[in-house]
Amino acid sequence: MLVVLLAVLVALILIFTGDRGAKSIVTTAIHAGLLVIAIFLMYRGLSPVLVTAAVCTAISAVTMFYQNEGDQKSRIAFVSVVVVILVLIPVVFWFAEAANAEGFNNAQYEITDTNGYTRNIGMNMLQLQISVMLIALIGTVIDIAIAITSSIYEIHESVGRLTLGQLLASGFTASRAILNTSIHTIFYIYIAEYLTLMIQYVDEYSFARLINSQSFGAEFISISISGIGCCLVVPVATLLCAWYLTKETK
Amino acid sequence: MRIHFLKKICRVGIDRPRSIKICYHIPMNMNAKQKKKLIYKILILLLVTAAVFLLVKNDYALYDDTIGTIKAVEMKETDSKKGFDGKREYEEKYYEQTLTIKIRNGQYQGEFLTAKHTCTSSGVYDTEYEKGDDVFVEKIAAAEGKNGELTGNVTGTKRDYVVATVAALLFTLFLLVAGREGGMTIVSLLLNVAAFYVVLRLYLDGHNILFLTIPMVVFFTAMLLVFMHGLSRRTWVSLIAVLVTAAVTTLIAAVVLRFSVVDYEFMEYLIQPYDPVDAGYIFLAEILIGALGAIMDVVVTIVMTVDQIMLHNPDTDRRSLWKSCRTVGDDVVGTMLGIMFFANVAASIPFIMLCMRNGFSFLTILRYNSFFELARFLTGSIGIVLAIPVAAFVAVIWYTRKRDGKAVGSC
Repeated sequence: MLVVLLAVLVALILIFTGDRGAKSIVTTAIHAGLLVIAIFLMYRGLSPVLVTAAVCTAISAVTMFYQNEGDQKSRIAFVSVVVVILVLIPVVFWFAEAANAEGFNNAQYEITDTNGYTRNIGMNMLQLQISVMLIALIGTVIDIAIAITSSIYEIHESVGRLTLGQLLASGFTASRAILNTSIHTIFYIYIAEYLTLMIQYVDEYSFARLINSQSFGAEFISISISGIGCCLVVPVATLLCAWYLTKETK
Repeated sequence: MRIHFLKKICRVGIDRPRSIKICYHIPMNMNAKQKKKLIYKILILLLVTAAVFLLVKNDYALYDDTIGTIKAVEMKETDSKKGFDGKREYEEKYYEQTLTIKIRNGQYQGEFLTAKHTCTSSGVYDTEYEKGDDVFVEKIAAAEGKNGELTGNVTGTKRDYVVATVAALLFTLFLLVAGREGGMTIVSLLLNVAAFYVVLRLYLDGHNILFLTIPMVVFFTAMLLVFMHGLSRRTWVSLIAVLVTAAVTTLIAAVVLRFSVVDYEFMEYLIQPYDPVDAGYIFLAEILIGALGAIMDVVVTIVMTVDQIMLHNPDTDRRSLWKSCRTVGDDVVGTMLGIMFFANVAASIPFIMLCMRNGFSFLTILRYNSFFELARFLTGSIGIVLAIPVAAFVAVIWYTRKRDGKAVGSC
């Protein structure tokens, strides 16, 4: 089934989009390759958080410099994404740690010692959970960073000289519509992902049990961290862009 | 990078798709008053988050179950086992923790209790507790004799305050960064959750989940679009395009699903025992919902492009409209695929790792264990790509039909 779907997808991209659409196939393939490399490095015992930080940087570099042209605004977008990821690592760490969010839970019936998934794997599941939360949001953060830097450049080009304050204000105005749609995009992806889990919740969990359960905690923190990442990239990208542009015009 | 005549439009001072949904008016310079206001807002954000944290952290009295705070942890290594994946060996340490817990509610409030707990160094199925963690305690018993020490079992972490704090942080950040629109988004997300609750209740009463999801999808698409554009022509065009794209995407998935063998044994969190037909419907509902947000994103962008071009250049012919849609589509498809890919695939990493360290081959994992994530990514991406021609077609037809109709009328 996967092969058929993949074939349909590639065919559709080639029919309905142009050169840059075709380029996106290559980008996605490189993304997948990077993720596989990351998984292998973690499997060989490297610290998942370090691997994640490196891979997120590589992923955004590919998107910015291959998919987009790698001009000044892509560079600023790239720096913003890296900054946001670095800022988020301690935040995610605190939330995941406080919530004991790591590992598998009894809502995942089939994953048990007796089913062949033994627990003797010698790997820090907390770090792995942090990696998951960071990788899940990288796509959206890149999207928003690109959108904001291009719009600020656009304004700058069309209106000419602007003060730092004006650039900042327009960056924030720009972000509003983008944030709204992006948040919904990932929100629906998460809902789809956890539909079966939500069926379990509605079926058998009380509210008190729900908000204290490991599965809900991990999932909710992950969704919220994605949202927080989206919000954070807005001021970061805006500030960097505005700062660079005012410096340049002087 | 983007389309040249759209740039022209932008110069006139109106919005452009995505990056551009802005710039209509250049906001005034930020003055000292506004700066002060911003600082206040950030302070309020921190205050609200801290208040929520403290309140929910200390809501012990609300629970009927006994909760305690861990005051001291003693760790003793009890065992060390070897795991083997066919190539390498891994060492896993087993610990016994002796926890001293101060009880925070119920009849034993204020007393101390000791509990034994076993955990492992990886924490695959268990948790290593730390000093300061709040935990639920069960089976409290006093030892024989006077002043008998209390013992009990730890059953889980109290996580409500983490959930509440992260939610508070998200919501306040949203209001801070996006203002009124941020508030709208929060309302919309909460309404979505409420609607999902109703749908899942009805599903558990025996209704078909896919047929419940469809009206919900229609409703939410309409609601969101009205939030964004009000009751305008753009809303109707976008609504039609989103629904058509979502329907075609789900249909493609259904047809492919019909002709392939899927092992729902590996579907995460599925309630056992399951009915394969029902599981298939759940999967299709997931595909439909998972693609919806991204489809909406692309459709809104394309329709806005056509709308803006027609606003400023009402005489543009269909061919060049179609061409601009294609260029804009090209622009968004790359990053949208990235969102789809990482948001879907990330969650399966711990399980992939568990499988690999248990000696499963990577291909087996992809074929069975990560099947559903990959399928959702692929169908979601199909939705994204399909949204481009569908939205362009609907928008171009709708906008030019009106114009051409008028032209005929005026003749």
